[in-house]
Amino acid sequence: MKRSLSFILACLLVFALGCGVFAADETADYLARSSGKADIKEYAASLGYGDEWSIFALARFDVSFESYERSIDENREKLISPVERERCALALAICGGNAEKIASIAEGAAGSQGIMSVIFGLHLCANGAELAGTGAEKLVNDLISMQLSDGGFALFGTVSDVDVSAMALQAMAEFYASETVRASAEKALAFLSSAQKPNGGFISFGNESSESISQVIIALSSLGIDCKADERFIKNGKTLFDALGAFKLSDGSFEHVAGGGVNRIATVQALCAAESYKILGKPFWVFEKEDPAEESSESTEEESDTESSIEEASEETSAPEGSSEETAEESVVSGAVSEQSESSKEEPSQEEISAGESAPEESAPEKTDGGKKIKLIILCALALLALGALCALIIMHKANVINICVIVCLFALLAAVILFVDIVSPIDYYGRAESKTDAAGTAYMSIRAFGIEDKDIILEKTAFEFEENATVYDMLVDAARIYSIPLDVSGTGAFVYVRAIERIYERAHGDLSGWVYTVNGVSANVGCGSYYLKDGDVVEWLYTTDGIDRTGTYENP
Amino acid sequence: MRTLERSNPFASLVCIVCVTLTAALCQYPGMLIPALLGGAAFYSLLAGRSGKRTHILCALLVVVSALVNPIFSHNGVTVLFVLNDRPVTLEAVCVGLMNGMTLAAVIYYFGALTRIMTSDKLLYVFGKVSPKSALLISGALRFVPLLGAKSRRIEETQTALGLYRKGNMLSSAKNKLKVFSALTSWALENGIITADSMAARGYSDGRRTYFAPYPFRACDAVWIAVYTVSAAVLITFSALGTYGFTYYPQMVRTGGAYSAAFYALYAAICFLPAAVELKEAARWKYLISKT
Repeated sequence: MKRSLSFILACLLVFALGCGVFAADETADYLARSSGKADIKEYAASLGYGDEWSIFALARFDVSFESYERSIDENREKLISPVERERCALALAICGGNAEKIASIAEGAAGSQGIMSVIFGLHLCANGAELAGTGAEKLVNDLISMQLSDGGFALFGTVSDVDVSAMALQAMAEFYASETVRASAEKALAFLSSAQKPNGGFISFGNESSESISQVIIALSSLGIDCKADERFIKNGKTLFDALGAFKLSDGSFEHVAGGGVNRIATVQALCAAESYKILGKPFWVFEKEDPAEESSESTEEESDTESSIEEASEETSAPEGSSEETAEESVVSGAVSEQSESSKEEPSQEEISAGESAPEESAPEKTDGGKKIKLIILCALALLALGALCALIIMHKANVINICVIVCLFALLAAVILFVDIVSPIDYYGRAESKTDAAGTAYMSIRAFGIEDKDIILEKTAFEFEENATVYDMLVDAARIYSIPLDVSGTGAFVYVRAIERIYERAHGDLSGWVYTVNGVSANVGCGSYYLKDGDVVEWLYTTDGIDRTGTYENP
Repeated sequence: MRTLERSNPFASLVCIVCVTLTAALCQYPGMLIPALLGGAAFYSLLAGRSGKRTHILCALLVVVSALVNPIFSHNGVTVLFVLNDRPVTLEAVCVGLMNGMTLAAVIYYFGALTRIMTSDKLLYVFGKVSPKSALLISGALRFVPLLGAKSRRIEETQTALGLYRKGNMLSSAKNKLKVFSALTSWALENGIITADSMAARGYSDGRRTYFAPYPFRACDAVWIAVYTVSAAVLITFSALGTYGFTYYPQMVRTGGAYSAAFYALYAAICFLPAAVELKEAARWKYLISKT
């Protein structure tokens, strides 16, 4: 009786809201279908190392992850970076792995490399994992100490990032009883609210992506804030789900950026968001071992509960089908991002001197024309200088026609140079690539440093579309932009030379050290600015310390 | 304490070299700012109004260096903007600024040194070790003001002949080129004539003797002791990494305890020459007014 009532209520609500929560099962089905699996159960059973985010998304479905533990055992030696180890340990905990193995995988990882390792360490604590040498209390304090002055969080630097702030809030939700956590969470919420755009979305790493919205939904739902009702997160009547809906495609999948095409990572994270909203008020990252149906009937909240129940009800009736080619080898966005961030955090004991303390672009609504603003500032400075020079001429009694002409021409030349060079603000530059109108093919690229400066996999094997006549260097620049990898190059065009990737410089580790690249496992004999890509090329950037090509030591994933 | 100008030439040389060497080896903001200010003060006191051009040159050097370094170096965490796919970072700008300041400080101190070390002092210092190179250095240093004076004379001559038109930048640049061409041919010719004339006067026929009216006083020993010990302490501590500053990838200052004392010591040796100069000038004025 109560159930049917709630069902009717839910139907009414869904119709009233128009596009409300999308059907999570449709998205889950898409994931299964696109991997060539018959249904979610089969898909879940096939998940292995590297699919952790899918496991998090499907953890509350009635499925079991049979092959994951075995896959982890096989790939144990690949688990190097702390965040990756924590992520795998958490996924293993969901799959019911034994506590000792979980503890050994995550050993010493929590809090050892930047904010992401703290966040995942907290998730592990919340799921009852025993972490040697650290504890929830210490990690919570670490996390709060990383909060920036505007309330947000960032991987590094002093400009708050939406994604990272949302993920920090998700971890805070698990320890919400503490007063200090509440106070810190309020500040972070205020930051997120101020960073929300008029269309309900967010800009993170320079572009408006669906993942940011998903992460914020998870954070709010974990804290018990209904993002459809709380006016802090409704801009011009647009809710987060309205914004997320804009990225949804007809088959249930999601795009990373509007018009960017299907993106598996975005899809998985959107599913996480939907799952989190179903259990509004409970932390998303606390995976209790219980029957999902039972859980939904248990809660007494009306709105969220009713909706989740219809979703659950329709779950069984889904009609799975079809085949689609591999996309599973793509890396998870936040995974890649977190790995870059590791070790960029400086020792807190050292005194940091940063003039960019209050970056002016911070959460300003018109981020997209930052480059124009910078140009305008430079031009204004030039104009002022020119005025100063003219004044000096007048004071020195040398203000004749030719002198004035010389000064004006000089500054006009400088101004022309400024106008014609391409200046972009970092917020616009990083986190997105130029849209490719006529992609000529897809190539894959990975970047590895083999443990140099505590950095190993800088970029997992990732697919990039390229245009006609694109070179390896063009692809590297694309990757550097999308994943915010600092790059230092000298020379231009065909003679470009890569001096540093991720601030690991040539000759920093011996005279023969530096960045080399291989294409399809073969060392190229031309510079990266003159190697033209072919469809399906696999490019590997490697940091060598002895001039020896070490491609063999890196198995292709 | 006697001013560096009136001290033993050894003392003035050692002091200036110690200060500039420390500034060049330890490029920290905490050391370069006192070095630059102390150098500028010392130089202005010695050069007076004639140092105007040096001040303009140093200011330009600092500005240009700060603008040019970020074009070639892209290291650094704080990206200001991205220029043609190359990040322009705050750290690179700061490194440029620091390089410019180091150069400016060195220019000021050596500018002061050339004013202190007249050619006879230079011969006194280096004459015993290597008389030929001492003469060469002194001759070369003599050539700098000589060229300036000669170029002024050529300019004046050409103006008098009605060939040199002052007025706008373009014509004066054109005329400067003419003057420069005349000046180089004169300089080459003058070099040969100088050599011939020295040979004719019997140079290099036997040992030269010098008369040097520079006694070594107690205060010279104090100057040398203070500067060598301070420079040794400063360079050792920064080489050990106790006090330091890294610019890349993020600007971080190291050095906990006593870092204020460390920087104060350097500031003291930077400002001491100017302070003594000022004190002596004041004393001179005071003595005159009394009589």
